Amino acid sequence: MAPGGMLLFNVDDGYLEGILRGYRSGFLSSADFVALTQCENLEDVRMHLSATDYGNFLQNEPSPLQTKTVVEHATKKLVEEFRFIRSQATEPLGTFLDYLTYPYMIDNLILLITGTLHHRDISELINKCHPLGHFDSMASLCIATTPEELYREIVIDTPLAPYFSECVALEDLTDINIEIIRNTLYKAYLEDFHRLCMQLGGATAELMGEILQFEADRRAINITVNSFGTELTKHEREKLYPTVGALFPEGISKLARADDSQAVASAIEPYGIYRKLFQSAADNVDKSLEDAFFEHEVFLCKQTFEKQFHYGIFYAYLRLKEQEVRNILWICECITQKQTRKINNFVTSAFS
Amino acid sequence: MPSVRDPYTTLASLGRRTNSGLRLSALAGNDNDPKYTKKASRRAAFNRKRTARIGSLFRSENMILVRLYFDRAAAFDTIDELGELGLCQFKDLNENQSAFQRSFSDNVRRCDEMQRVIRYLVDQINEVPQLSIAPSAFSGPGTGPSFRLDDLDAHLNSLEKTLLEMDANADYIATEYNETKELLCVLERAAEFFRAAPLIQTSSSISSSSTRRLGSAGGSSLAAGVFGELSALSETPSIVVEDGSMSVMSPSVFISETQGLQQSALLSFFTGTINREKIASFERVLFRATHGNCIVRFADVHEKLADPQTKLKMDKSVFMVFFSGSAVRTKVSKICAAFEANIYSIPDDHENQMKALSHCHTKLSDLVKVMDTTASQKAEILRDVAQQVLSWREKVRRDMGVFHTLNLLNYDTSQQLFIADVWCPESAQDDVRNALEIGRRRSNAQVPSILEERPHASDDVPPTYYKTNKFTEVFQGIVESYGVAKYQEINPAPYTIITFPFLFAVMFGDIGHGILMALFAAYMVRNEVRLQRMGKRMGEIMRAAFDGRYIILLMGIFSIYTGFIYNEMFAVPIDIFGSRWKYTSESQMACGIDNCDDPASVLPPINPYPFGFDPVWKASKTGLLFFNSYKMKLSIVLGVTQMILGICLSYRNAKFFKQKLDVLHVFIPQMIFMTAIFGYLVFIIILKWLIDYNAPSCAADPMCEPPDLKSVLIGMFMNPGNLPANMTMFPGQNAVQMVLATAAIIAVPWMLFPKPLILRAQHRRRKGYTRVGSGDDDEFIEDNLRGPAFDFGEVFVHQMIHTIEFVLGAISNTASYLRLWALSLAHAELSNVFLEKLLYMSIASGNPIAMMAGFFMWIAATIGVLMFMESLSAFLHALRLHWVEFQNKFYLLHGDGVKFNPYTHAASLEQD
Repeated sequence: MAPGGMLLFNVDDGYLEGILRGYRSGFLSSADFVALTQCENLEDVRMHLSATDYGNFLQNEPSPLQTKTVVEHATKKLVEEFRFIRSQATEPLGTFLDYLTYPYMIDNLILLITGTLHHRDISELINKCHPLGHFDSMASLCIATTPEELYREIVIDTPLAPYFSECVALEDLTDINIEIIRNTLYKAYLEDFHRLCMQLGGATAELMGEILQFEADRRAINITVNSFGTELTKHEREKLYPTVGALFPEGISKLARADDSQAVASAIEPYGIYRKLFQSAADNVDKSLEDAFFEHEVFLCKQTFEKQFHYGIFYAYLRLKEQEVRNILWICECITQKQTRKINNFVTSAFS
Repeated sequence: MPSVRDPYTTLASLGRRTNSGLRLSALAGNDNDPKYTKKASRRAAFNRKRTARIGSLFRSENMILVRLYFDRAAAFDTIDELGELGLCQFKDLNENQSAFQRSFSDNVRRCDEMQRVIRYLVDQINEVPQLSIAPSAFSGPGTGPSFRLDDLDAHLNSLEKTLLEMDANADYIATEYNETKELLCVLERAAEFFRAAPLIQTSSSISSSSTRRLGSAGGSSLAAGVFGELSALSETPSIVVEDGSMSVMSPSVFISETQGLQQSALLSFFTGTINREKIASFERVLFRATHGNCIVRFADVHEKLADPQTKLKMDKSVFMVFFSGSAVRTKVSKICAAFEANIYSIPDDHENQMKALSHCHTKLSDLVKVMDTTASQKAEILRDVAQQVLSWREKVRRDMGVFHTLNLLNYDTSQQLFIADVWCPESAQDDVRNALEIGRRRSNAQVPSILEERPHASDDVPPTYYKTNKFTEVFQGIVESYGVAKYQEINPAPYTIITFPFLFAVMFGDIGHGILMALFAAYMVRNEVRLQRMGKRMGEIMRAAFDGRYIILLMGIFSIYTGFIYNEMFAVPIDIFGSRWKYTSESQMACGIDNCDDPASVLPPINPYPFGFDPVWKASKTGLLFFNSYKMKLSIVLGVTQMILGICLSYRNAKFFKQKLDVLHVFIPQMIFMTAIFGYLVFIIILKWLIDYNAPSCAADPMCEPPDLKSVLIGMFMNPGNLPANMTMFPGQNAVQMVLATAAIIAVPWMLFPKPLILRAQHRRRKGYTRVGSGDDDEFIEDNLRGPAFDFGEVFVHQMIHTIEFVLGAISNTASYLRLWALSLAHAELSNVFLEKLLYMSIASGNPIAMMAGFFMWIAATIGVLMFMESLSAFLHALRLHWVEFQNKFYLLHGDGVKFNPYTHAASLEQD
């Protein structure tokens, strides 16, 4: 049964969709953000947030507050909400929601490997990991010294195992190899997730398809832009491009040949959306390409709420809430560092 | 602290003596002037009388908008006093500022911080079992400790600091204690590992013969056994050889008991504790990381151990890992760290282990002593705190409320005055003035505080406020859960007080059930104070019942009354006055109600039963028919009466708001429509009850027979003017019916057309006056002159909806009142069935056990089904009849009422 089916969607997932629509109204509004940007210190931020859906989430924290604490608690709230949804979900929504946590796992994995490579304390690193991406044997990552060991000893137990098989061939763990591992994992993950969404069908396939295509293209472009001036060969680079994006195959093959950002720009010239994003990033000094991509992602995510009976909103909710936490982080940082000029440089997650 | 408070109470009485009309500035001088005081008190008495006459529940109290001015210095005390009074609703004068931009946000924040510390203290106190928290010393106005918030803040901070320091020490000791305890467990279990070694050895059946030989050699059999397994686990024995260990590991190493395990340096081990949940993955990771070259053994610890780091109690296991080689050693230690296993090194020979064990025991007992002293020291500090902490919390909450309120005010910087816009009941004006004055004196401010009454804008509707008491509160609640009345609209609550329990009782009429219900409610009313104190502990259902105790009491009493009318006590009729259907010399009856050969010849008794139903009906075959006919008609009569009352109240509303149009073109046609159809129905119902169809004069007339009232009513419209002779009940009935039918039909267009048409005409007339002018500003001026825009279509549609709703509603609502009959029937039949099938049948069986069982089942059914479920359903139906059938005639036609929400300290009490 396609979960997009109007007839039977509510049998399994109606309750959770309802919950999620409730969460949606808990997003900070633009007025909230305006008020937050006018705060003079973190106490003000706490005071204002206590009037929003965050409630008294900071009430037991002694003053003075730190940005870290605010963000920690905001993330905690997000994670609790997500876990609640996950625990209520039936199949296939459960699988879908599990897939949403894989990117966090990949990030955590990479964070830990990089950390141990630079001889950082493992417990300190674990505290930095995103709680949604926790997996069982995370702490024992430090014992691995080669990708093969990594695979055999740790990753095999995680859901990431099938994505990792290609990386095993790499010889040792260096910074560049870790980057390659990250991107390979991501590519495999995106393709797998895309396959899952297509399999689910209906509005889920339609909306998630669009989002994942964008995600794939964004990664491809980012990989290309970031690879200039590194030792990554073009051949290796080509292997990292996800194959589910709108750019595939023509755009991708052009990207694969690109040597500088000019070439990237011409490669994406035929694709309206990306041309526009490039343009807006080029026109505005304060805005990076990354910001432009974020903006578009937020737009896509908000769009999913316009439609009913699909799983896209679960993805969108997680993404938007994360963006909101990022924004709170940005505002808090600007306030503590007294960078009032830059305080408005964030991609708002607010529904207007 | 009465000594501190005293001046205020005397002040308050002073203030009350010098009442109403006096200017505040003159207050001090007039205190001793008897003439002035007398006059003022007379005026106050008059004011009181006037409000009493109006009736505080019929319409909302008169609300006035007043502006208060007071000195900055007096601000806090003034607001505090007003909060104590609890009759002022402050308007937010800083709507465009967010919470942290307001002037007192710092104070609010500090209160937040203090509340946090208080929460911490309460948690700490709750952790100590022998301490109990004393209730707050605030029990009413003017009580409670008096201290300054600053002092409390400082005190709280120092308390928190002391406690945190003590906690840090206690933590350190606790960590040591837990570690020692774990070490103790490890030592005990380790001894077991060593003892169990032969078992390990025998279990490794595949081990090579050489190792088996080694294993049999005495004390270090464990090492040998382990070694045997190691070699068995490794795919080929050569791995062991490659490690270089085999060559060194001559049998003598193991055989010599003194050298032991550690000394061999080839097989080393880690022991420690690990969370039991992690065992599986721990073992797996170890296996993978060492390529199988290690042995792990686990033993469960049976009690829960507190982890030294996290202090959480968890199930733990002692583990022992054996391995060889330094590379593996680092790996294993890393894995242990990753799994948060605590490693303890223990001596390897038995003697030293025993020594360590006894050392652990003494250390533990020492630590326990230290911990006890620390805990008792802490408890000592907390004991004092426990006495006061709730008072502190209350104080902080009150002050926080004051600061929140102060944030709503305007501050006039040029004159250093606070300005507050306040809604308050007109009758409480003097109390507010007093509170202002007391607040000023408390703070010794020089500038007098001023109260100024202000006119309010027409779009600024005053809040609705009814002065309720503990009895009327619940009825007001029932009405308001449907909606809050518009300011000064008629409140249905005073009627509800009687009609609600009555309609309930019509559906629940039974003396026995009524007595049970009344007793239950009376118990709650009697123990009101005690139960009130229980608060949340009562449980949700009990709490709801407690809140409605007065309504339940009335419902019970009314049910007893209707029970007497229906003559039912637990479905058994009671024969108080003696049934009139029995044969007596006066009754002229030849037989009983059912025993006649010719039923037609049965005549009713001469005298009716004096009160309620004759008990004999219950037993007769025609009883049900008789009850149904009575209850059905009664429902119609009650319903129509209540609806007509509703329509009359709409007249009072229209008159009060001076809407002549509504009186003439809404109320009058509605009233005509209702009375012409259903008023007439009620009339003929009562008439039919009064006519004696058994009288000899009637018996002689063939046309004199009881008519079917439904046909009469239907015929009145379907077949006007042709009343069959056998339906005639009084002379001239035909003419009366024609007049009534015509009136009802005329009333419908009367309701529909005149009001919108007249409104349009009025609007046009107003439009006639236009200012001389030209060009663009014409429109602007016209807008101002014409008042609000007028849309005829909208008004007409609205009126049409209203008319249709009323006309159809009159019929459907009347039918809806038949639920009174249905529910009453259901109740009577259910209790009858329970009585007969459970009680009577079991008694008839003659078996004492069956009788007992039957009796208890009957009790259970009576309580569970009738008293609980049936009463709930009757309650809900009574609720519906009030909300829909009664109130839609006059209440909430505009739906823009706002409830009066005064600032009061009492609200801060109820937060938990």
